[in-house]
Amino acid sequence: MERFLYLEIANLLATCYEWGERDVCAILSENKVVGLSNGALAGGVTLGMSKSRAMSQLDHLEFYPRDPKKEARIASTVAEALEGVSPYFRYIDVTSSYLPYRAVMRYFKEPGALIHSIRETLSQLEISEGRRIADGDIFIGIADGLIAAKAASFRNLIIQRDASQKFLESLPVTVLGDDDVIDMLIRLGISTVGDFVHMDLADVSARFGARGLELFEMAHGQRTYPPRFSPPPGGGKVSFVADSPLVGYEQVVFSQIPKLADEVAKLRDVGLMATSVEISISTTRSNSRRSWSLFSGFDERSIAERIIWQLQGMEEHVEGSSAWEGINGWQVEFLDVVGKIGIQMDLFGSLKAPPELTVRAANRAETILGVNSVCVPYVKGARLPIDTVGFSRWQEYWQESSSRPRGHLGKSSFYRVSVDQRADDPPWPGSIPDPPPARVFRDSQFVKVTSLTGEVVRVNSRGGVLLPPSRVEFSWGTRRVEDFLGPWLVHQRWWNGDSEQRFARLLVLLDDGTAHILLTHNGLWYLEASYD
Amino acid sequence: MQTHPELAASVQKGLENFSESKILPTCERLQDALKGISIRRGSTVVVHALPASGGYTLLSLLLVEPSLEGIYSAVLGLGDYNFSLAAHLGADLSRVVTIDPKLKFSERELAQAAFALLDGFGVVVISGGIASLNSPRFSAKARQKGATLVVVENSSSLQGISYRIKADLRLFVARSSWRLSNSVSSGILTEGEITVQVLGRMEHRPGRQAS
Repeated sequence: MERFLYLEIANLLATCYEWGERDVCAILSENKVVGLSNGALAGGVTLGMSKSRAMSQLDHLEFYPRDPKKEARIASTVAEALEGVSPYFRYIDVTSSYLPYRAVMRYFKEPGALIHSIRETLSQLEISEGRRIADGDIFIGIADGLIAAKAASFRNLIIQRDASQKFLESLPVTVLGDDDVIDMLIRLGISTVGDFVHMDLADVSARFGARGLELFEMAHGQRTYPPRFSPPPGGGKVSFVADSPLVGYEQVVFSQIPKLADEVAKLRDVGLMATSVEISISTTRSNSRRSWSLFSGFDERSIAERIIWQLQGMEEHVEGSSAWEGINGWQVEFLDVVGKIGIQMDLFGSLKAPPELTVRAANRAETILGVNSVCVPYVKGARLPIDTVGFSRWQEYWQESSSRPRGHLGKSSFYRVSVDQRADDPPWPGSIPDPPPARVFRDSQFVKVTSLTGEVVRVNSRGGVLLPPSRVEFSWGTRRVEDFLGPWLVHQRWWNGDSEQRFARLLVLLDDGTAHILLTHNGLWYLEASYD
Repeated sequence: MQTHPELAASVQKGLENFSESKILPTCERLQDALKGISIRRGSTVVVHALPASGGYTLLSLLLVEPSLEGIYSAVLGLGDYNFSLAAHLGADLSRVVTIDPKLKFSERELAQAAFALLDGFGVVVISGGIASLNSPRFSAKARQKGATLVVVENSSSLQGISYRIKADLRLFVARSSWRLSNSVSSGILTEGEITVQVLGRMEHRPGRQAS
């Protein structure tokens, strides 16, 4: 099995901000901490912690958003430095990359020498003014297969040849992935890879289907990631050459998506997809070549995203906007191509396929607003009215409805449930009964609910009101309450401390004939939704 | 000269189809509310929505029939609109697109996107704020592409109603009071009827060609 080196630079995103030693700050992404200042680290906050847990550790912790532009610059700086060690590094995201060990085996005879060289290079690297990567933040693992190498990097281990399988079996089953099948394995009590590999192949196939078999092969070390093939003859490269240097590049990259889509389609037609691409970019000042990996398979959009990330990194690297004169062109080359699995084409296509003009118009809107901005709403079960509508990406929708196989097999809920099935979802206990309110307010709108005596109405822990509501003060005026229903207590996700919610809901009918749903939490009242 | 009756019927049917293709399909409930007035494709419709007066219900009704007949709609700039109401009233949401509400865009950016969507969508719904950036251009593009532009003008009071957008059809919506339902199983509220007052520069009634 192929041997890999996996590199993870922890807390690299923290270098986006100029924090002092005493600052207690964290970068938050999807409610998880992804970057920390030294002060926050010393206070016991760790990477990956949820926002509420981090705040329970340090109540004065300040949160900052991710900064994609600075991240692109940092990733570019790190990539340039690593190129000095080996040009064969492949980048998964800003903090993670891997290296096929055979590519450097002849030069670095010993794995120790390679690791030493990487550590030395990164430690000497000045990310921003005077800021360097701490040696303790560099995690490197070497093992047979990428899964084992990644797991080895958590503990800075070099797993000897032929010992990777034993090592893998000692690890939790989550090292194989993060999806529904893994969740189910854990719920069934199969917590380690070792437990999983001792299952019967027929049982795995019957119970977990194609994905189960894929995980089973990964657990047995029979596949690093899916087996590789060569791109079909005449395919595998897309080039763009600008007539004159281009300064604004986002729209130009998106305009090249059809060209990329043609190349992706060529692979798809022979049952393949690309998992690694090399993007070479030439600008008026510098050139950049980098390999990117996406194990779920690249499609035209994800390739375009990588081109933009790489360009952002190059642009940010240039001091002052005047020094950035523009790009001359780029080339995308498919490096690793694997067999596509789990795609079933419709025999006659789908009747729901949107017309070509509609697809073009929506794609054009997405070019203006950015990747994944256009979406298709669908109804789903939820207790909060705001959660009763989910949004699927337009790109996934039209590719699915046009019977085009999906390029990106991401963890999107859209693919697990078809549009029609979602509409038939059974009722959700605790949700607001029909009719649904026409307006649901995302931003909290404070209202004042008072009784006849003018006191603010309070709901006790048993869901009772001592004084019935008499008036509601909105931002547009005060209305008298004609009738009301409730309050209902809502206590949801009580099993998860981070997302637990407890509040009471009241439906009020007002003297102007309107109906609203109000919500109270910690003694304050909010307008949650309006029947319009 | 005598005309063959079958041929005459066929020509008449063809003319009716041609006329119907110029009209946006609307559901029965909306037809009742509009009192026989049709919405032409390529027209600009302004829905004046006072708080909780039924403007968003009217918008949902507007989306129902086009979505069932395969016409795609786009809704932009109405962050508080609940699409589940349209689904509840019978719309096929798979033919409706919107902008991810978690992403924040300026009205100018949304206006550019709406302008692009008019190229391929049968119904484009935008807020008054977006339309006011360049309403003549929007209306001209809608007319050119045969798309129906629906502008939702939110006003907090009758005095605050704005007439800044030039419209072919102006809809003022009012609804009778909501009442608590007798049984929760049939829904917590009994919906009142919505009534629509129409002001139009280009009213189109069946059998009468609008100028």
